[in-house]
Amino acid sequence: MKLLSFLIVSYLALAPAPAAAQQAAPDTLVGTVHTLNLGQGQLKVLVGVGMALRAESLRVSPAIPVSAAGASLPLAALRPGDVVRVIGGTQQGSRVAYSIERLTASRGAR
Amino acid sequence: MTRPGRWMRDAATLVLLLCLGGACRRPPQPGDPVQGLSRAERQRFDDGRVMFDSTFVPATGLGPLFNADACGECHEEPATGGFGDEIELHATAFRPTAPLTCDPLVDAGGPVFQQRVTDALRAALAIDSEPVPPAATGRGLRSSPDVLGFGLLDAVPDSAILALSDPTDANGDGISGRPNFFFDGRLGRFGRKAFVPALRDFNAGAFVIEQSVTNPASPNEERPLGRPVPEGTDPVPDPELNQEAIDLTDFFVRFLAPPAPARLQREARVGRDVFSRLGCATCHVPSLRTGLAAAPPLRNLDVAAYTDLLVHDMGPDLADICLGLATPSEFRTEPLMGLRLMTRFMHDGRATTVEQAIELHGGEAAPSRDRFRGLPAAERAATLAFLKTL
Repeated sequence: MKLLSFLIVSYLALAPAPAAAQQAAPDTLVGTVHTLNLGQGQLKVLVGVGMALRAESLRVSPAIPVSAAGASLPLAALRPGDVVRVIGGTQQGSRVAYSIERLTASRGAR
Repeated sequence: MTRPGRWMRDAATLVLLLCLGGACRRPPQPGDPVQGLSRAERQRFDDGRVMFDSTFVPATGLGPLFNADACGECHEEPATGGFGDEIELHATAFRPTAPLTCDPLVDAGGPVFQQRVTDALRAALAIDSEPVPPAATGRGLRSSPDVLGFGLLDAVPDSAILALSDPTDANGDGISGRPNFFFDGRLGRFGRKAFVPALRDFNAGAFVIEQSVTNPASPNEERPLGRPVPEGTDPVPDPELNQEAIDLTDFFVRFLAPPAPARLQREARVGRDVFSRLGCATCHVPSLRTGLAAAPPLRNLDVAAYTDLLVHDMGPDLADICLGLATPSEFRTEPLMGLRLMTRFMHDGRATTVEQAIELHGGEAAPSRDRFRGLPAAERAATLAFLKTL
């Protein structure tokens, strides 16, 4: 049984992953604002799968379009805890945000 | 045929018809699938079990940080998918006045701090486990629950859970369960803080946090202390597991049947009424109904979950970590299905009997606990007898 399970794991681990999985990270991410450093132009967003949680860092320019419920919003209005959808891409090896939509304002604890 | 003979023939026919209709089917045992799987689905379930029980080593993706080397290492009693005696460590920082109230310490390797390392990582960093950073304000131990019936919990519509919430205690019953939400805004339901929204996420994420086996859904390795993995300590390229392996495992877990409650004898029937009268059933809601969007074998079923999948304030004595919107003292109502199989109770396994577990309830549950304490001995015994049928 142990040999069988080792063979299965080896096969599944070494089998080529689907092409989609090998592509770069998707251009859209939905997560929670962790920090926003306006001076350094850096936004950190918490994302994850299950309990495997990660922080994604993105460069943001002061002129980036930010919206909430269809209305535009200054970047500085974003708060840690806000749930946002970020459309972005990769430039010179780092992630850059092109637009941000606030989906839910920070709910905080009670 | 004489009249008694005709009566016996009719009775036998009725029994036969009932059996053909499924009434004589053996109730599912721990580790069995739900009813209604096709032959091909049953084969897939069995293949998923092999995957679930498969042991990883560094050459197949294990580590460099990990808690276990197989799903089945922690979910094993009394059958694959059951509970385990492993305890893991979570830590977060709760800052009630900060804009982001709960910091899961992702930059420092949180919120799950793995208790084991591969030989290669030990040699590189001279650590035996991932250290908790000083920024943590709370640590929480977490026992390994069974995952039996989790597919049914996944199939309960969000609307059914939200309909049970009463965050401001508008009905004045002293119970104010509220939903937790994941980082992307989806309603949470899995985990002791009801933070994880879907079983598929729960399973894919577990491969990473428990075994550091990356996969297409979660392709980034656990980072020791939040730093890059030292060179040479993670020999398998990411993702270390392909989608088919994740799908197989997910299929197995999704279709694991919940343990069938035992037949209620007279004392347990009394206990069921007392359980309700004490107010326990306000949070441990006896039954949830799955939705029409679920896979056919899980669709439109009543599941005796004994939970509302909401978080409740359990008082300062149990408080440990925050997660999402859940404060340190808030915990999801633990599902009681399968309770009779358990040997340790509460989120960290601190109770060795059901009675102890009831005694440890505080916060919103304190009035029910106090009513339990005040019960006559016979009703107290009846309540415990009922709980031991779940």
